Amino acid sequence: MKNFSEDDLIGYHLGELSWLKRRQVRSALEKDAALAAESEAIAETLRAFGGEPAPVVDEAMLERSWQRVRPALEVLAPERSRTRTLWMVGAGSALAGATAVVVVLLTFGHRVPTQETAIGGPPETMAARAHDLLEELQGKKTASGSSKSGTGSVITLPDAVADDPSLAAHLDTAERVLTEVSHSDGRLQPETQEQVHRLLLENAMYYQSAESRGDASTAAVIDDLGRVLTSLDAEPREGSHDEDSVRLQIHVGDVLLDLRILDHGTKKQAETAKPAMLPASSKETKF
Amino acid sequence: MAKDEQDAIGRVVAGDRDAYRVLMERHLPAVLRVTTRITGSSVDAEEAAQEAFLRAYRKLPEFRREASFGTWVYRIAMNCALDLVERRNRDLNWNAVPMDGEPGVAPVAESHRPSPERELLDREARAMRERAMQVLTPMERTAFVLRHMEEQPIPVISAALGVPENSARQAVFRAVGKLRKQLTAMRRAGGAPMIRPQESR
Repeated sequence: MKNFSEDDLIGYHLGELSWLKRRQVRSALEKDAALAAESEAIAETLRAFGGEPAPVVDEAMLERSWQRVRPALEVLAPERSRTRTLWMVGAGSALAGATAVVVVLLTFGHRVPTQETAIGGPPETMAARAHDLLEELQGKKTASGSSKSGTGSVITLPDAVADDPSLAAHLDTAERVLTEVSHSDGRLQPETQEQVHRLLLENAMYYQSAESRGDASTAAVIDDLGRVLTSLDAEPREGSHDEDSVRLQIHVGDVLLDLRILDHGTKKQAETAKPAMLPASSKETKF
Repeated sequence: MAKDEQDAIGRVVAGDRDAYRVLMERHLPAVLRVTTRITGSSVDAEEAAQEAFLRAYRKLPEFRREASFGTWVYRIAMNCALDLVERRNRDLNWNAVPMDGEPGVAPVAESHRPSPERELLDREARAMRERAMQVLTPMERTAFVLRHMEEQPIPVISAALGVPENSARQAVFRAVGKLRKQLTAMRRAGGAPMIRPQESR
C-alpha cells in the first residue's frame, strides 16, 4: 500500500490534494487504522482552530477607527490635474535623469569600478544566488516539517528549525526578502535594504548558535544565507552616489569584521568544547 | 461592485475625504476579522485594520474600478497584519493585549447569550488556542489563518505573503503540524477541551 505523509493528510483535510491523490488517501484511510488515527488527530486540530467567532464591529469602534484614520487622509487631487501633474513630473524627471546619465557616463564611465563587480556581482547573478538559496531554505524548512514512515503513519521530525521558533521566523523573513529580491530588477528599495541589513546581523547570531551546538547542516545554510545577505547589503542604495557608496563600503567592512569576530569566537569555542563536532567541510553541506 | 461604493470612490478621488467613511463602514468588519485572526490581539488588529484603510486610500487613484474594493482592501489588510506581527516579534518590549479574555479584548459575536459557565469555558479555550498559536512564526500563523479560518486559496495567500505558492502551502502544513503537537501536549497537561460542541464541523 502506498505510504502517506503528515503533509498528505493535512493536504487531504484542507482540500489541497489532486482528485486522484485524494481518492488514494481516502482508500488508504479505510484500510489502515493507524493512518486513520493520524488523520483524525489532524482533523481534530483543524476543528479546534476553526469556527472562531468574528469580532463585533459596533458604531463606537467604527467611529474610533474613522477618527484615527481621518486626520491622515490627504485630499486626493482631482484625476485630470493629477494625471497632468504626474505626466509633467515624469517628463521632467526623465529629461533630468537622461542628462545626468550622459554626464556621469562621460565623466566616470571608464574609471570607477561598479559596486557589483567590487562586491556582489551583477544584479542577475545576485538574483540567481538568491533563487538558489531560496530553494535551499525551502528544502530545509520542508524537511523540518514531517517525513514519511514505512507503515503509513507519520513521524514528526524535530530539528533545529522546528524547535526554535525564532530561527524559523528568521528563515521565513529571509525567504520573503530573498523572494522579493529575486523578483525585482535593478537596485534594492531602501526598506528592503534595511531589512537585509537587519537580517544579516541576526543571521550572525543564529550561525554562532548553530555552530556552538554542533548543528553543521543548519550552520551551513545560515552561512550561505549570510553570504548572500552580505552581498545584498553591500549593494548601493537606490539613488546613492559615490560618497554614499564609500560610506556603505566602510559600513559593510564593519559588519564583516563583526561577523569574522563571531566566526573566530565560535570556532575557538567549538575547538575547545567539541573538537570533533564539526568536520572541516561542514560549510559545504547541502540538503 | 455596488453603485454606492463606486460613487464613494469617485467622490474620494475627486477630493471628498469624508466619502471614504462609507467604504470603511462597509468593509471594516471583514478587515478587522482577518487582522484579529492574524495578530491575535484586539489592539494590533485595530491598528492593522486602520493602516490597511490608510494604505488603500493612498492607492485609491490607482485602483481599478471594475475590481472589488472589499477584496482589495482585505488583501492589503492581510499584508498589514503580517507586517505588524513581524514588527511586534522584533520588538521585545511590546506587550499587546492577547486574545485570552483579559480586559480589553474585543467582544465576539455570539448567536445567543451564553451562560457564565459556558462563557468561562469559551474564554479558556480561546486562551489555549492563542497560546498554541504562539509557537508559529508570523508567516506560518498568517498562512494558516488565511487558509483554514478565512478559507482563502493558496494563490491569494502566496500573493499576500510575497512567497511562491509552494512556500505558502508548506507554511500552512508546518503550522498544522506544530499546532497538532501543541494540542497533544496541552491535552497531556490536562488543559480544558479546546473545541466547543457548536464549533465542530
